[in-house]
Amino acid sequence: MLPTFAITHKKGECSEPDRNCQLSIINYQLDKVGDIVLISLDKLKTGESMMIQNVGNDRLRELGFEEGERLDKLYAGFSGNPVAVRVCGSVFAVRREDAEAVIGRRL
Amino acid sequence: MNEKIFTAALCGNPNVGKSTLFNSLTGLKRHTGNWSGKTVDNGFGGYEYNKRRYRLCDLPGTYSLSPLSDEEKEACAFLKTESFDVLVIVLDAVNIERNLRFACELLTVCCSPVLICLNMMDQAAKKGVTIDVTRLSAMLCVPVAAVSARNGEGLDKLKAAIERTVELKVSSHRPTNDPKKLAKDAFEKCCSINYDTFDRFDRRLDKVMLSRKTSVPIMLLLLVCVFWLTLVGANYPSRWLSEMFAAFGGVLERALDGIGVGDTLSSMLLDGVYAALTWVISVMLPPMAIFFPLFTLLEDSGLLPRLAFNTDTCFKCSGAHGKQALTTAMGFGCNACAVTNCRIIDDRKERLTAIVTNSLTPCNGRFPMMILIITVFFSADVRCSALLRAVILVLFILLSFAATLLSSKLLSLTFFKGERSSFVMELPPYRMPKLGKTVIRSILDRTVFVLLRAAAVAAPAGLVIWLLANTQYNGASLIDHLTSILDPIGCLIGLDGVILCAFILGLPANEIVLPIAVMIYMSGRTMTELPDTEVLSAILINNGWTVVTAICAVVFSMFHFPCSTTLLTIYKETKSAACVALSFFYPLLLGSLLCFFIHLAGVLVGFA
Repeated sequence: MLPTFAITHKKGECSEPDRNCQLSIINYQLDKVGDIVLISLDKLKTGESMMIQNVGNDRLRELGFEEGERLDKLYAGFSGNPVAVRVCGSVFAVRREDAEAVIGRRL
Repeated sequence: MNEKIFTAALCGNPNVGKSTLFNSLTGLKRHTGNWSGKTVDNGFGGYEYNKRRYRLCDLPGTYSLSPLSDEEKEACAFLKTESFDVLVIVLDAVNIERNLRFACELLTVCCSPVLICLNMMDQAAKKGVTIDVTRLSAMLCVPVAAVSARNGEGLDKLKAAIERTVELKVSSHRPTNDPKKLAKDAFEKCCSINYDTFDRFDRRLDKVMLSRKTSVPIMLLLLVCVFWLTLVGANYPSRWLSEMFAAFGGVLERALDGIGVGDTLSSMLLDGVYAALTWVISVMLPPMAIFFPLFTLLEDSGLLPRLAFNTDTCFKCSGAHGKQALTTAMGFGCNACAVTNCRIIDDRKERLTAIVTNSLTPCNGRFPMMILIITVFFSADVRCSALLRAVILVLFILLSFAATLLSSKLLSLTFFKGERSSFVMELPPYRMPKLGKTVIRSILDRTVFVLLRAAAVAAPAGLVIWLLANTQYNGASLIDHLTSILDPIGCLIGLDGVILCAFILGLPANEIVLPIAVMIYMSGRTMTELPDTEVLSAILINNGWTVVTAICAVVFSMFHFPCSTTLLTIYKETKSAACVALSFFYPLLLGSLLCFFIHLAGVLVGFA
């Protein structure tokens, strides 16, 4: 049986320090659950899209990066940083370390 | 007329057109541009409608009611503490989906009468966005007015809607739904977007502007074009103004003779005040009046955030915040304005880094000096075109950019050590600037600004120079004494005492530095007409200038202490004398060291 992915893992519910908790959700074992593969935004390739499942960054939440929203990765800068993504019709530039906090299901 | 003044506050997400709307309603000229974060403080103005007076408040944009940056905190503080008769929530009709979230969040907490203003309706129509305004108003239970502030469309209807909202004092029934759900429902039921055409143009253009292969060459090409246009365009008005002022100078001289003004006073007025004033206007004003509108066009089009995107890797490696690219770009216009705009950077240490390094970006006032020196020393040969001069200028600008990055790194490791904050920035849709309106308004604004500065600063500076040059002490003029004291320091860094004296006296305004230097070189002689390139070249070369001196002068012009306006602004923003001192001495030290090594290299190679 595949281990439950920590998609419901919330800040403060683990033994990791807060910062690591927010940014390291991807360090938990990412396993396939059926056909769903969960990845972080920084791992998404340019031109691909994802359905957001979890966002560990308050600023991104305010800008419309919320669970259930579609996100399109449009461009990436030099060495993949920053990335330009479209959410709710608007385009944002996000640095890689902030992109790590956005977890979703590849579409 | 009804004496009560009604207060309306304009709020909304950044870059929705609040300031443009404010300017359209009040006739004032708040700074606008197509990027988030231009407005960093509250602005106040007024208008009259139907015999009623309205006080309008333009608030900085905020993405939510949980503010992170200083300007967002200012906006939220105003909304929470100040009383107003109507709150106008300005939404960008193009980005209606995201804007509705903020509007619904505000609707559920605000007790004052609220009105929604849908701005940029013309842009929305072009992009295939259709909004049922009536249905939206019914769903949100507030009046909704559709406008295009840039074109002045719908403003009367907006004023009427504000008046009705104030009269009715509507604050009763408000939606009690979850604001996110309400926003989503409102978007789905009232708005339709043709996604085939919505952002097709923007994505095509971004494929080029943000591509790893083409972004840097295109940015450099844009920079070369801007400077080439400035160089070529400035020649003609500069020549006309010089000839006009020379002719008028003769008339003025005869008039002063005619009314019996003595030689001394006449010389003071003509060779001091008039010479400095006309030098600044004829030589410095044209490049400034051309560069500034071009820069404004870049701002209005939406290219600046793309510039920030492309240079973010450099700023990240320097330990700087990504938005520092925007404030650095603003420094090309005016360092003082750019320092104020550093409020868009949330983290204090990163903000201070941006503030201190901003004066390493040559502002509008320094460009004319750089352009003149490059013209005289690097392309006096007519075969060398304006394009070559533009390329040389761009190389110096790249040096300033490199210095900004290295200095940011140094500061982030020393004075402003700390953890770096996150960086998220909106890339707004491209907008075609209103060429005529933008260019003409910008030229007029910049011309008025330079004329006022010339009157306030250049004229008195010219008087001071004349007095110093014509007051004798111990067999030499005061200016000779001053320059001889500064000479050893000047020579050490490839300059001379006159140039250093000019920089010191040019503290109030950078555009008077070269006129002061030329006036000191010419002191004792009557400057009957303003020197053109050849005459200027002769003056400088006769006073010991070489190519190395020219390079050092350009470098020192880029890296020296900021002008007094910028220093005052830095104090106002930081409330720290230490920060002001750092902002003063750091660029000075950097410029001096660079000039020293350039001079040393020149001596070793045999050019100096």
